[in-house]
Amino acid sequence: MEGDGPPAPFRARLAGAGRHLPTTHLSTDDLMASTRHDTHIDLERLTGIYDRRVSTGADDSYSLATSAALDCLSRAQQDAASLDVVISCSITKFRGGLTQWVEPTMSGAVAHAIGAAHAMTFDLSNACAGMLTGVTVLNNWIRQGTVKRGLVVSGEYISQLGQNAARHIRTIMSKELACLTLGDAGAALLLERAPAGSAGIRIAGFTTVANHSRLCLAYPKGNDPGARMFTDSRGIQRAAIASTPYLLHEILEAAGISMHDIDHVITHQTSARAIRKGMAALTASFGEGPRHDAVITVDRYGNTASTTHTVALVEELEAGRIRAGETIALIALASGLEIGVVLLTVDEGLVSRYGHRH
Amino acid sequence: MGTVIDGLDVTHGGWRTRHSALRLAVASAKTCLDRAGRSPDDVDLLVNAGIYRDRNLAEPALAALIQQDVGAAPEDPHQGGHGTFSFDVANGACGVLTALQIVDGFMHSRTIDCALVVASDADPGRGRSRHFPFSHAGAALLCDWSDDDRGLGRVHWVNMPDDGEQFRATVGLHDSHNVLRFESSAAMDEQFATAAAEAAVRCLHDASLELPDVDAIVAAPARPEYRAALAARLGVPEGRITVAADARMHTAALVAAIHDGAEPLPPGARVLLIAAGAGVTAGAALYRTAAVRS
Repeated sequence: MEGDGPPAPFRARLAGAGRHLPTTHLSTDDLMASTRHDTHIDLERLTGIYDRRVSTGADDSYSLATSAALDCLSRAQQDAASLDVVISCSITKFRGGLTQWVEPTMSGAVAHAIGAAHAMTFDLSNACAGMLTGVTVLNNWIRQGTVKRGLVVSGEYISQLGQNAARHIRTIMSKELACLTLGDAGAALLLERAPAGSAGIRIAGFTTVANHSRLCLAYPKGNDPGARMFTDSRGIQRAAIASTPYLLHEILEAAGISMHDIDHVITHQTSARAIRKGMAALTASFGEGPRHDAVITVDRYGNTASTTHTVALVEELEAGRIRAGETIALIALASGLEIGVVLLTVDEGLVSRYGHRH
Repeated sequence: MGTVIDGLDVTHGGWRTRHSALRLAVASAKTCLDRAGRSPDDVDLLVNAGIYRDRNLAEPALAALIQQDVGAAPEDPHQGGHGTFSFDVANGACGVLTALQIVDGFMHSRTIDCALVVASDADPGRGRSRHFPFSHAGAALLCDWSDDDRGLGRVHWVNMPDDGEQFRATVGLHDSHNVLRFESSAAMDEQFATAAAEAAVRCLHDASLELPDVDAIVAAPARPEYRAALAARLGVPEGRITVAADARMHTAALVAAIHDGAEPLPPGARVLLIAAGAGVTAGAALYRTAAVRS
């Protein structure tokens, strides 16, 4: 999605990344001990997930998004009043407990809460690819000069689906198995105008392989609070492995770089096993891998839906594992089937906002 | 230079589609593409701005299901094919304007050549909703790019945060069932009109124009109370503002209003698009017409 038009006058740089994780831990052992039926499922062995953060009711999609937005702005030392746009990209829009707000928008509520008085607001929804879709839209506007600065935010209070699934799952073949991998988190990314040619988003591309649009469906059902989600996890993984290398080849070619020019890969965090399998397929397709192993945070935070890339990015920045000038490939895989890649180079201005250990 | 509407369609719900926003959106999208003589595979970007849908579906984006059912690039990506990218936006009755603004950004950078904006709403029914206030309707806009002075101008937005006091739609447990419910205030249309008029004034001011300079005013939502309040604030007769004929139409209302208000105009006519919705949020943009196939 780079365009054949005249060269863009600007580039969008990542000015800040923020997150908010609920303080309550839920171990996979404890979650599996809560299932109604004796399932004989070793979820940790299957997924590599041993822990996740969950809201116990104090946090909801709105509060998680708002806290993450404030964390992001504070990292970037930026005032919310300078935002031209706030895009909320969560799947869940729970506010005041497990009440899903359809209208008005979550973006309007978050913008008001953080003091973004002049920002245009709207919600965007694209399953777990929501935030990176928001980044793709905002990146395009910033490059063209339509807006100067914007916030892509998401609050996912989605662990209730795991609790609902725990009541229904009987065997490993259950379509609700993926619900047990979910965790809660808020995330926010601040993008701002930078001169063309500087560090920032090099390219962002997406495609929807709609043949697989019904492999994962989530909706409110019966008397379970929140929603339930039904997933053909193997089908999604098969489709993702079949389609992702092609898109990544196309993106890297458009950016004029090779796989070994990518320092870090952050994929959507579904399970450690799925990430390793997917990366092995990419490496086989390219004949080489990225400089570092793919980032895995799903083991400790679970699948936090649309926020996973940002949660992982902040983790790596805080640990000092990402250095100025390095290129990160953020890879979205989501029901739809949505496949997207955002190629991002971070600058010293961003990296210096996070504590270095090195 | 801007995004031009190359075709549009409005589909009114019937018995078969009364619980399916998906079917309404697909019907409109197919009709729109057929009339314009375009193939579903021509669509680079599909943005769905509809809100009330089958089963109150939260995931995936309804746009992906629409893309599959329309038959746009359903297969795995392959060499030579450009593929289609789909997602949903939600911004109440302003959703179509938001979608047009997003499309315009990607058109401007020549990332895409052809986009489809769809919007449909239907009562999810079967005990999943209570007192559903909107008509079952779908709409589609086929978008193209014009290098001349036609097309969509800058969109101006106004927010007057009210925490959902004027209009609120939520899904939550009620008597042990997940139910979609609605709340609105008596002052809703007055408040929407206030925000809408402010957005319109900013839009005209930015373009150094005044209301007599525009050939048509096209607005959403379509309720007569809103139209009257908006007309009063803009100081124009109500008849100058075209809204959808169906006052209960929701996200599709702006497309229906464009159909009735802008389509009859000759190419090059100047139209002021105004939309307002829950939040309160309102947007306004100038649009210079091109030939529309409908």
